[in-house]
This record gives sequence, structure tokens and C-alpha cells, in this order.
Amino acid sequence: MRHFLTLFLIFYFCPTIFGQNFDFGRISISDFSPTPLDSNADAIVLKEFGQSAVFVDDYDHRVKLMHEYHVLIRINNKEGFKKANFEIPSYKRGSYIRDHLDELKAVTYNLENGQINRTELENKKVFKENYSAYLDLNKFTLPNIKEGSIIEVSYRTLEQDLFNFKTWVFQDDIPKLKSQCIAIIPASFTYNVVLRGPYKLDDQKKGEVLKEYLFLDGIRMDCSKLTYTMSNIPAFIEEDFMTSPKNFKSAIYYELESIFYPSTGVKKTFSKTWKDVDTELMNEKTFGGQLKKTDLFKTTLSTLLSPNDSKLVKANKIYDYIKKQIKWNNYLGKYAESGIEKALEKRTGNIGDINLALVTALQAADLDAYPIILSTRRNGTPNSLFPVLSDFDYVIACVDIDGTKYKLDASNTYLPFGSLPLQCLNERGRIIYSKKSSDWFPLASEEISEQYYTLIGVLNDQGQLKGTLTISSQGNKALLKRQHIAKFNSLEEYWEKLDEEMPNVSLTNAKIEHLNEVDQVLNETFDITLDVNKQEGSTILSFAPNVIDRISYNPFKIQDRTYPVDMGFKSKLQYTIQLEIPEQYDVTDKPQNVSLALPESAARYKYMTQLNDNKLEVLGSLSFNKPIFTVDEYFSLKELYSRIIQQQKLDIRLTTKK
Amino acid sequence: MKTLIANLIYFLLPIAAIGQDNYDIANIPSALKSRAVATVRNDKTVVDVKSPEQVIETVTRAITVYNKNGDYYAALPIHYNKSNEIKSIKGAIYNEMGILQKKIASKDFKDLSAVDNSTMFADSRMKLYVPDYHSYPYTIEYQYEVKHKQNLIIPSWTPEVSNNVSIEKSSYQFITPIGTEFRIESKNYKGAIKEEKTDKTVSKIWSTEQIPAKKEESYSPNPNLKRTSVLIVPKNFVYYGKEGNFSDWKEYGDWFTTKLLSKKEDLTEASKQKFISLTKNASSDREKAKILYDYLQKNTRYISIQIGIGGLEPFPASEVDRLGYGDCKALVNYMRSMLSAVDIPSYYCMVEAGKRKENFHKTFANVQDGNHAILCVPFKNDTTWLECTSQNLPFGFLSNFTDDRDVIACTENGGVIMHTPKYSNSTNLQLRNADLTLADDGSIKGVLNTKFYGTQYENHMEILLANNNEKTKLLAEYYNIDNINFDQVKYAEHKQEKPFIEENLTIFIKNYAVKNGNKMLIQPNIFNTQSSISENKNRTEDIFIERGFIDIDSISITLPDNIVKNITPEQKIIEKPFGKYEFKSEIKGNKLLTYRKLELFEGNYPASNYEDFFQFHREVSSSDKGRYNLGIL
Repeated sequence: MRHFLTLFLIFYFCPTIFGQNFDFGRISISDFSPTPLDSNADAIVLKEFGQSAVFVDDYDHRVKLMHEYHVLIRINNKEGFKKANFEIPSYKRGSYIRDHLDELKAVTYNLENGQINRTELENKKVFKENYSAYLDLNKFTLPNIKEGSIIEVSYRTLEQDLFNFKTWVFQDDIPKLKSQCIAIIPASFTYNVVLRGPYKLDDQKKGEVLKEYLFLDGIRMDCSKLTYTMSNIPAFIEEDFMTSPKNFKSAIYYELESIFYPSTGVKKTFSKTWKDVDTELMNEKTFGGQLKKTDLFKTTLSTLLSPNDSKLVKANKIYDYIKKQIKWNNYLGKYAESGIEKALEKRTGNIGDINLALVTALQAADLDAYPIILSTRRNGTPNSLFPVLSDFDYVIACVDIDGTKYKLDASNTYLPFGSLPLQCLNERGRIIYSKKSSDWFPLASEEISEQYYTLIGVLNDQGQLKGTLTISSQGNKALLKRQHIAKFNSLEEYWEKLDEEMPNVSLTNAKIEHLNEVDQVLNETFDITLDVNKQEGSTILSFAPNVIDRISYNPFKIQDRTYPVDMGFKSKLQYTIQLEIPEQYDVTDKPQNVSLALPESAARYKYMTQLNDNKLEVLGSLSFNKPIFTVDEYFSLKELYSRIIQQQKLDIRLTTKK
Repeated sequence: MKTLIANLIYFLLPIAAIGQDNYDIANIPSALKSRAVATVRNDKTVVDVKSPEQVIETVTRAITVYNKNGDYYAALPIHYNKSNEIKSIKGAIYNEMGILQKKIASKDFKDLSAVDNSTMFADSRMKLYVPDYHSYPYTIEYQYEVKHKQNLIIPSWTPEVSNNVSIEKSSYQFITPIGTEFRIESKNYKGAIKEEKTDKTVSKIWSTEQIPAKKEESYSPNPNLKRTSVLIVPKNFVYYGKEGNFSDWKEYGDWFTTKLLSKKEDLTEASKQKFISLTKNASSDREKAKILYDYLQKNTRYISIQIGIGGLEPFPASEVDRLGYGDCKALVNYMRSMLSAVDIPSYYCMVEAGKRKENFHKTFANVQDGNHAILCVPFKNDTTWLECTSQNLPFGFLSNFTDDRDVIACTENGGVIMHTPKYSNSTNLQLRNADLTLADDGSIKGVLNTKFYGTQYENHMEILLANNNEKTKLLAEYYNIDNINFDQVKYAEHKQEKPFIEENLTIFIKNYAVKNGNKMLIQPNIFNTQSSISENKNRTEDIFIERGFIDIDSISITLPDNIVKNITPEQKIIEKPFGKYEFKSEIKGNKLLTYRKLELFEGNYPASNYEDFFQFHREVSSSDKGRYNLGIL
């Protein structure tokens, strides 16, 4: 808040004109020649300009937002042709509130025999698609596109929603030589402005005052004009194991904070401090309003809970009840879509319906429960400087039992009490205690995603290995496995598929334990038979001891990493193998014991074989002791995997005793 | 008064129908539950042709969904456009016991655009209902009526929707006024066709029941070949206000040419002159066509815009000439117009495109076959086919998108069924030579040269076209070798008669060999390793290899001095009806030489061969991963 006021002060003392739109149609031959940014680009933005301004529409006297957009793109090759296709959305809210697209101009320039030829987009080649009740798409493509064409497009859109001051994304999947955006905001409007991403603006934000620029609410009003420019922006390349590209792309975000109405002297504030947000949320019918409906659960709870239940047992029972009662309709949201009453009745609802119902039910049982709003990984991390409510797209429940705070999400049947799905593990959320109080709440998972393989068996002199394989999964691994099994119509079909996928291994007598008891370890056991590799007429038997789910590919393929590697969870994978080997054989070759670790044991791999009489024991384990690895650690991670792959290529060789 | 009663009956009927069916899950025979995610309880389609411009389709469909995976089949999209109108839709959801849970009204359907993301324009919308009921099993029942204002495309009947959906009962009734002529093509229908007559109408009823769900099996033939279907085409039709008639492909081609193509070759005189002068030095018609195809590829691109009657009609050549883009129909018509300008005749052809080969009905003319257009240039003794939507494919190269299938060509003698070229086993060749040097630290470097022919050509187009950054990324995915670095990447297209893509890579693999004690473990064949296929103990479907291929890898690895150059030479040959595998390796001098050849032969093989087929892959896979433990001095 204070930060923003200072900015305003600066504007008053900077009366020079900064950014402005570039002229349409001024193309020079030099625009066709490649720049250093071009080397790996299918297309490149030569210039981009956008301006968003609050204005009063003379037609209906409504305050609206006008966005102007103007871009010049060179298309370098056929893969870049898709950049000549445009799809401009127009949102519709109700029958008369509609966004409006106008003043569309688009031209293709081709350099032919030293001359620039231009072809204009024909009006009738712009197609309006009635996409849904809320959205129209304006689609067009530019004519005469060839390798090396330059296209120029400009248009403006009029929007009704003042909250929707357009996010300006500097970084795209193609590089940009220059990108500039301007915001013209009446002095009576206050927006919060945030710059994200690694790249710097050309100059610090520049502002100027446009004197009596706008006639609004009965008076001539000054506007501030803010100009942001960035140059030589490389293309954004998405990598594996990363959270939302939004977190990393350079962009400017706006959120409307307040409007002052001079005629009445009233200042209408939107979101500004967390206290305001807390009040707003708790007064909101679809959020705080839902939490009051504790009466809905009174009868259910009286039969569900018994007076002797501990707090934890109560919370568990309620969690299971909500999980069973309301199925997720695949929509996110921090607000209840249909309201918890309706959701309970229809037995389906969005995230808001489900988890607000959970909070309410927990409160109805006199437990200390609060909602935590958060932003999913795909949605990016929420702004930490000031509250931007629209950053949050999810809500979970938090229950405090004797000082331990459990984070609960009842939308996924396979999720155990107290653990969150990967999409929720995005730095931190905001726990809303009351109308007056809220706090940041860390979401990083302490949970370890674990998988243990245990094989106990006998290798006979015919080279056949028979034994029992147990696979125990916990945490996210168990969640994924339960979800995978649910894709099959029956366990038999799951086992059949599992058996068929491993051509060298035959699985029989399959059993599964705790498939539905999601807070317990998921155990699978199989009787397993496999033929090991025989050489020189069975005098040599060789085999890799970890018979299934061997690591043979490196998940880290690219050479250099730009963004942190975010796995979401700590994890551990372990093999324990105990084999009786036939008496007449000796172990002649076995992989050397290794122990590899990243600094501070952030990741560790151990492999050990041991022979006692005719009992061969193999122990292997791979653990990642933190969920997020920095760019600097990338090379070590890649190398660690590489060493594991090497290690797992090695066989144990048995040779008949001489 | 009479009409009032008729209306009453009309409205009462559906209600009665709802009451009749009992959707209790217990009534489903257990054979239909096995391997099924859903069961079609009853699917009743009635198509009543009142007149060419009034075809009433009435559908009642009930589906029981057993689990989440079956939800997909419970959703109902009804497509509509200018030529049809949804008169009514409603539905209901029943629980396990068949007790009504909720009713679905027309307002519960979303009205959406059915235009896919890559299409600029198409006249296509849908009403969509996606159930949000999550207590399994449940049964959903729909009833809807659509009025079609044309009779060229009559709703067809294909009761089987998917292998994992079983069918309890499905029927199709076709009603026409007495005396109207129709052609009917029914495939794999074994039951009797029931006929009913009133004084004004005749109706035919097809029905089927008790079709169990099937296991999904890899390398299976096209399931449509075995599925039941009924397709009906009228003799005289009205389509988007245009009248016409055809009774065979010849007449169809005539109709298409005169009504939809004739005025579309409208290049300006200036453009025609341009094409004449572009080709004036060419020695043959083929040469001319090649120049014009090159012009097409350089100056146009594919943009999907479905304008013109019902998406059948191309937009004019002059427009493509002006705008530099068009959909498949427009681009084919444009190419055809360019060729006409230099007096080379060509045929506009319609084809069912896709990786899975689908044929046009050989003798049953209809407009529902086909989803794409290509051009045929009938040079003497050299019929050439052109894919006009690609800016990259070589001249005369169709790719696996339209290869080896029956298509309909619009010729001067009307429509003719023609067959597109086939890429034989030996055409689909991948030829690799690697010359590598192993260092004593276990790393390896060298050059990898690979040529991709036939349908393997297009498998590598994506990498070919990608920019350098993207290329390295794609190559790392494609080769998927731990720590492989591409120090130099070169791609070349050789677009001659037998076109191929040539890939030249300079590679470095840091941790190639595994050092263990005084041994070095290496796997010489790393670039092309076959994975094993699924086992299948009760195979029911034939084995079907849609396209054969040959992969040859010759790898030479120069060994460091401190390696004991002594291995047992290996030579392995596996020959089977469906394929052949050869693997040789030996040390010559200081070089470890490996030769690998895998062939798979196109064709259909009995299900009983599956075990053999599986073992073949298993042996190949294990031999491919063969390793040597070399001693270090």
C-alpha cells in the first residue's frame, strides 16, 4: 500500500511523454533481416504494444476498459506459420454486457525482389464463433504467409469488467525484441501492480500525469499513465518437473484496489489489506456464508460420532463422511459453486462445496477448523506483497487437534487424512481464521512418497527363480497406484495387465491389502516366477536382481536447466532381495557396493550385495530428502540418475563350482 | 379434434416408454458385465423419412455405467448445424435398483460450439450433457428428436461403440413413404430384417442384442471390419437446398463434378499465364507438375475453413490464389486448377484419411465415406498422388495418412474407385551406420548417420522441421539414452523418387560403458532396441501388422588399447512368418562390429500365432540388449 503511494508521487514529477503506440504500416526492409534473438525462433515479435485505459463510453455512459493491442511479428519458418492464426476472445456476461472487438487491422508483408508487398486481411475473413454462453471467439488468419513474412495486427477490445485490467505477459513461446504496455488509470482508481519473472524492465516503471484526461462522475479527472517496456526477451521454454510457467514468465499483473467517487466522497475499496480480504471472504455468501450452516450436520453428526470419540477420531470420521457424501465434479474454486446444502443433496460439488462443507462439519463437531485458500501449482504462486484474491483457485480445510494442524482435502477418495494432492503443494496458502484474522500457511508436504520392493525367493539349478514379491506403497505413490487400479474394472483385470506387461516374469496368486483403507500402507503380494539368463549350457546364470520397475531411463534429459526441479514430495524407493542360490554355484561377479549422495544428503543412492553361505542379499535404495532442487543441483541430479542406470545394468553372475 | 388426439398420443408415448423399461442392474446378464465399463441397455433409433427435406430421427438410449471409466459413454453430445434442428431432448438418471434419481431437461444441456481448436470456421454446434452423477453403477436414459432438413446423410446405425461397452439391445427402424427408392448397405448383420407396412409407409427394422465387451488387444485388425452397421442412401436427395441423385459411384462423381467443382476452377488469366511461364522450360508433364506442386507448397498453407454446402464444397481457386491458404478441398482444387492451366488433367479424390487404413465402400456410393481430399494426376503409366495440405512432403508422396486404400476419384468418366499406393515392407526402410570410438573413461563419441525411407520418413518430419533448440530436445526424447549429447545435428531431405530424410548426428555419451572392477560392460546396440509386447494367454483377435518395415543398424565401435579384444562372436537369426531378425557381432582388429536387422511383414496372421509373435519380440528384445563384459588390461 505504502509502496504504491510512493509510485503515485513519482508520477506527479515526471511530466514527459514516454511510451506510445508505433505507427501502423511503417515497415522497413531491415525488419526482414535476422537479429541475434532469431537463431532458434520459428517466429519473432519485432514490436509489441498494448494499452489499457479506463474510459467512459459516450454511448451508454458506463465506465469501461479499453485495450489496444498492436504487434509486428516476423515468421521465420513453416513451424512459425501458426503465429499467423489469431483467436481473440470476447466475453459475454448476461445478454447486454459483452466485450466488443473493433478497429481490427491486419496486414502481411512479403519481401519480394527487394520490394515490400502488402496483403490486407479481408473483413469477411474474420469469423466469429459463438463458443459458449459466456464466450465468443474472433478467429482469423493472415493471408499470403510465407517463410520470412512479417505480419502486423492491431485491434482494440472494450470490456465491461474493471477488475480485468489485462495481465501483460512480456514473455511468450517466441522471443520478443521489444514489448511495451501502458496503463492509463484515473486518479480516483487504485490498482495494485506486480511485476513477475526474472527479466528487468528497460527503465524503472515510468509514470506521468495526464491532466483532466477523463470526465468521470461529474468532474474532469487526472489520469496517471504508466509505461512498462522490456527488450530482447528470450522465448520461454517449459521444462519437466516445474510448477506453473506463470511463476516464471515475465509479466505485469494488475488488481483493482479501490475507486473514489468525488461526487459523493465515497471510496469503494476492493481488496487491499488481508483484514479487508478476510472480511470480504467471510461476508461472501459462497464462502463465509457456507461456514454458518453448521445446522446441516447436526443430525448426521449425532449418529456418526460417539461421545467417547477422541478429537482425532471425530475429525477422521467427518473427513470420510464428506469424502463419501460429495463427489468432486472436476471444477476447482475457492467458493462453493452450488452451496454445501445443495451439494450434500446432489452429492456432487466443486472444491469449494466439498471442502467448505468439511470445515463446516468439523466446526459443527466443535473442532477447531478453518478454511485455507490456496493457488494450485498450475495457477502459479499467490502474490506475497499484498492480497490478490483472484490468485487463489482452491480451498482446503485445516483442523487443529491439540496443536497439530492437519491439512485436509476431501475431494479425492484415495487421499488419506492429512495429506494433500500434488496440485495443492504450491508454497503457501492463507488460512482464514475469522473476519478479522488470517495468516500465511506453509503447504510444502512433509510427507514422503515411498515404495518398497521385497523379494524373497529361491533360485534353482535350472535357472528358475521362484519367490514372493511384496510391493508396499505409501504417500503419493500409494495415491497414484490406487488411482491407477481404479482405472480397471476389476482387480483381476489389473493383475492380468500387470502380468502381461512383464514378459519375463509370471505373476500368480496376487493379493492386495488396504486398497480402500487409504491411510494405511498399500501392500501387494505376488508369487513370482522368472527364468534367469543361462549361458554356456547352464554353467553360468546371470540376472539383474531388481526384477521389476528397474530405473533404465534418465528423467533429466536436457543439458542445462533454467528453473528449479520441483518434484512436490520427498520420496524413497527401496529394494530388498533375499535369494537362496543353488549349492553348486558360486557368485563370480556382482555389482560393487556403492553409496552416492548429493551435498547435505539431499538425494542419496545406496546399493549393497552380501553373501552369507548360499543366501544372497541385495539392498538398494534411492531417496530424495527434499521436494525441490535448485538449478545448481540439476547437474548432480542428472549424474546421480546416470550412475544409478549404470549400476542397475550390472548383473549378478553365478558359475558352477569347479 | 382429430389432430388433438394425435398430439396427445404423441406426447403420451415417451412417458409410457419410460415406465416400461426396468433399469435394475440385477437384470443385466453377467456375460455383459465382464470387461465392460458400461452396457447399452437399450438403444432405439427410428428414422422416419417424411420427405427429402424432413427426416425425423428419434432416439431412446439407456446406458448403465459401472465405474468412472464409463462416464464418457454416458455423456450425450448432439451435433447440429444449419441442416438440422434439435426438436426435443430430455433424460433421466436411475440408481442401481433402477429407481429414478433425477430428470434431465433440455435446459440442462449446454449449447456449445463444436468447432475444434485448429479450425478457423465450421458450421457445427452441439448440445451437450455430461452427467455429474457419481454413485456407481447408475443408468442414464436419453430421449431426443432431431429434424434433418436433408436426406443425403441419413443417420446410420453402428450399435457397437467401443470394445469396453457391451450391448444388451439395440435397434434401428427406417420408415419411408411407399414408393421411395433407397439403397441399403448392411455389414455384418446376421439377424433378420423385420418389415412393417401401413397404407402409406414401409418400415424396416434391424436389431441386435447381447454383445459382450471385449478385451483391448494390441496388433488387432480394424474393429470396424467386424462390427455391424447399416448405411442408407436415397436415390433422389435434397442437400442444402440442392437436388440431386446418384445410384453408383460413377453418378456420384458426375454429380460432385458438375454441382460442386465445375465453377471452382476460376483462376484469373494473369495467374494462368504465371503458371504457364513458370513451367515453360519443363521437359515433361511430370516436371511441370513438380514445379507447380513446389509452388503450391511455398505459397499456400492449410487452414481449416468449412464453408460451402455441408462441408463438401471447396472454395474457389481464385480465393486460394489471393489468400495463400485453404482447407484440403480448396487446396486440392487449387492444385487441380494450376495443372489445368498447363493442360495437365487431374482428379479430385476423396479419401478416409488416418493412420488406420479405411477403404471407401467399393460398390456402395454414399457421401459419408471420406474425411479428406487429395489429388491424383494420371500420367501415362505413372499415376501420381499429391497431398496438397503439406508444405513439406515430397512430390508424389502420400504418407501413412492416405496410403494403400480405396478412394473415390472424380474423373472425366464420373466417379471411379481407385487405390492409393502402398508402402511395402522394404520401402519403409531405416538404415543406420554408426562409427563410434570408446574412450577408457567409458565415454563414447562418434557419428551416427541414419536414413529414413517410406512411412519412416514422416516419423522424423517433426524433428526435421523443428528449430535447433527444439531439435536437440526432441532427439533426446527419441533416442532416450542416458546423458546423450548431440554436438552436431544435421538433417537433409532427399526428395527424389525414393525420398528419404537423412540424419547426421555427432554424439557424445558420457557414461556409456559401465566400469565394474577390472571389467567394462558395454551394450553395442543402443540406438534401436525393440521393446517386448504384451503377453496374451487367450488371444481372440488375429494379429494384424498394418505396415511392415525394415530397420538395419550397423555399428562400429573402436575400442581403446587397454581392452582385451576377445569376445565370443555372436550370430543369431530368427525367422518367422511375420518377421525376421538378424544379429551379428564380432571384434575385428580393434573394432567391435555389430549388425542388426529387424523386419516385420505387413499382413494378417491367425490368433494362434500370438504366442509365437510374443516370443519373437521377447527374443529380439533380449538379444538387442545383449552386453559384453570386456576385460581391462
